[in-house]
Amino acid sequence: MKLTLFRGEGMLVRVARGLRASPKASIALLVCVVLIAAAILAPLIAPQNPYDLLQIDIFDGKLPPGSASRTGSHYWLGTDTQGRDMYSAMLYGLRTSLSVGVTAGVLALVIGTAMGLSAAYFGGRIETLIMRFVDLMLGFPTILVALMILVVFGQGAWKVILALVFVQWAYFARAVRSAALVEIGKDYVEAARCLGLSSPRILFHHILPNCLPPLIVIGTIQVAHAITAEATLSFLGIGLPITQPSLGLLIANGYQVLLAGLYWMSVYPGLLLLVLVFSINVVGDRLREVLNPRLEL
Amino acid sequence: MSDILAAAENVSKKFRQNPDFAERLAIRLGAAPEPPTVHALDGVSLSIARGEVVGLVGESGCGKSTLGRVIGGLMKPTEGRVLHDGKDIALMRGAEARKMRLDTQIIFQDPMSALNPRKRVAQIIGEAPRVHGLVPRAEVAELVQRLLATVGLDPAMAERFSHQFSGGQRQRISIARSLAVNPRFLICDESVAALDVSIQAQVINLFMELRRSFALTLLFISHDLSVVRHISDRVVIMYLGRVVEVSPAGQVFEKPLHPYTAALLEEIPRLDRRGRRFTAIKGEIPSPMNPPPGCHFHPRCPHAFDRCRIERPALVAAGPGQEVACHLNMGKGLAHLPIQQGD
Repeated sequence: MKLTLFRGEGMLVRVARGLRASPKASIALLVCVVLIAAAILAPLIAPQNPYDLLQIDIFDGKLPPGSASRTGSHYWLGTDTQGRDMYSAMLYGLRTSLSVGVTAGVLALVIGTAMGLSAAYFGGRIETLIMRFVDLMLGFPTILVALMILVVFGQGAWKVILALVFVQWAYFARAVRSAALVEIGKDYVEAARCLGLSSPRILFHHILPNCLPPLIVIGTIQVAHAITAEATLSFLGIGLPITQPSLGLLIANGYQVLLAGLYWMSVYPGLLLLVLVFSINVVGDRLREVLNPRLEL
Repeated sequence: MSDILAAAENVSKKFRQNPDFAERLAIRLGAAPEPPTVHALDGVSLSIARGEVVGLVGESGCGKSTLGRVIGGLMKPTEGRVLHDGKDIALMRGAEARKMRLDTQIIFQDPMSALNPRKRVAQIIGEAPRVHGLVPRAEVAELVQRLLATVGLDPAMAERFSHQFSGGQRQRISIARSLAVNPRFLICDESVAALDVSIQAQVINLFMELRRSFALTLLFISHDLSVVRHISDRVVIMYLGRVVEVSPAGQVFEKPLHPYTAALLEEIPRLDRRGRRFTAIKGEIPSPMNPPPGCHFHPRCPHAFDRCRIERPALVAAGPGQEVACHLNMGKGLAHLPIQQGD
């Protein structure tokens, strides 16, 4: 009876159980949740708004971590060359990095899934067309394609997202197509056709829910990739504009003075980026183990 | 002819892998062989009368499942026509096509993959009648309960997922799902082959009950003659994409006409022949990619003669309600023993 209960539970319960069973993944998930909460709540918990010129004091510039400000408060992570509190700047940078990464990841997931499902379901010429294009996309180095798009379209948050979606959707399309092909071969899809259900209904109500596990895993890992790629682009100076600094841009700004011994301006944002991407990847890896259909009983 | 519910007229189905652009180029240049064509069905005609139970028997790979799917309208035939109520289903449109689609339901072989693992039983059974508006939304749950009771399951199980059921129970759920759209014609594609023998009997009895209470017509596809014998009015024997014999169920077991049918019957285990050694039909079933010329059965037939190797035997009447495709005894197969070859 216990076994049937276990096998009958939904995917969410299984995911929660699987994550809890691994201490590494539990900690990583906790870190992710804390970082996401910090990003969302940044305006509330940051000591100052680092982009409000009235709140920053140019005479507080380049202070090392732990220094007292002229108003008596402490800059626990130091200040940058403009006198911004690094801790506040990192919270805002995290907010930008996460929102760009997640938006790009989700958009790529939606587009890639639609493409992959259509390729698998309709087959023939549509499939050839989509999958050859996917092969082409996967053949180019991610950063090169993103660079070219940004050079053509110019800077801006939405342009970075566009570039990231453009280089990432192909991964989703390929994964969804292979998962969907397996499902389409099963009798329940033929039974649904036999019951006269429409193609969209079969695709979205029958095939897609059964393709979700690999999608969730790839989605998680692609969000981490998107964050890294955005940081790289911003570091190279062609990503986000200076008015919306992400973690990558903070690292780039600090990099200019790194060799002068002012390590905190790029090392702390770098560490935060590392922790964020690392914990998302650990959670993604664990999801892959939990949702692997071959481990399913 | 209004007595005929469904009919296949000279239906052929060929499966051929469609080469993509690069492969076509390679074939054109002679670097790759032409992709092989599988003749799953080769000029099959079959008609099923209203209320009849037809058993379709043959070895694996003889095309019986393909025939089921073609008659069920899930696959288009390469050649020939499929008629429902005397109308070609390929020409049906709109409401007529929808009615035909719902009238004909297929019960699949594998009860594991025939049910969507992410849906609850109530959704599996209730989806089609709800989407098609066959019953008011408020009454769907009640319909599901009634159908579960009809197929012999506890209506309280409606909220479970399919993997919480045994094979036999799942097959009952599949049957309930098909019944939900009020079909007139059920095609059972090896529907009991994956079940234990005791469960097989239960599910077969369920089919017979349903046939009576819902006035169903059944096409029962199986590789197991003893299962078919139990329920069929008429038996159709297929070999390598062709129909070789059609007989009333009683006749086929008493007086098989085709040497292939006779060989199949020899192999049914019987209590009065314990201790007998089984002699499998000699040789393998030939590849449907490269079927032998003439009668497809000639390489394995003990009575084959020259004509069998050249000319395809037509399916002709050979007795009361019996048809056979065999050159023996002037096209009457084994009807008058001793066997006379040729005419």
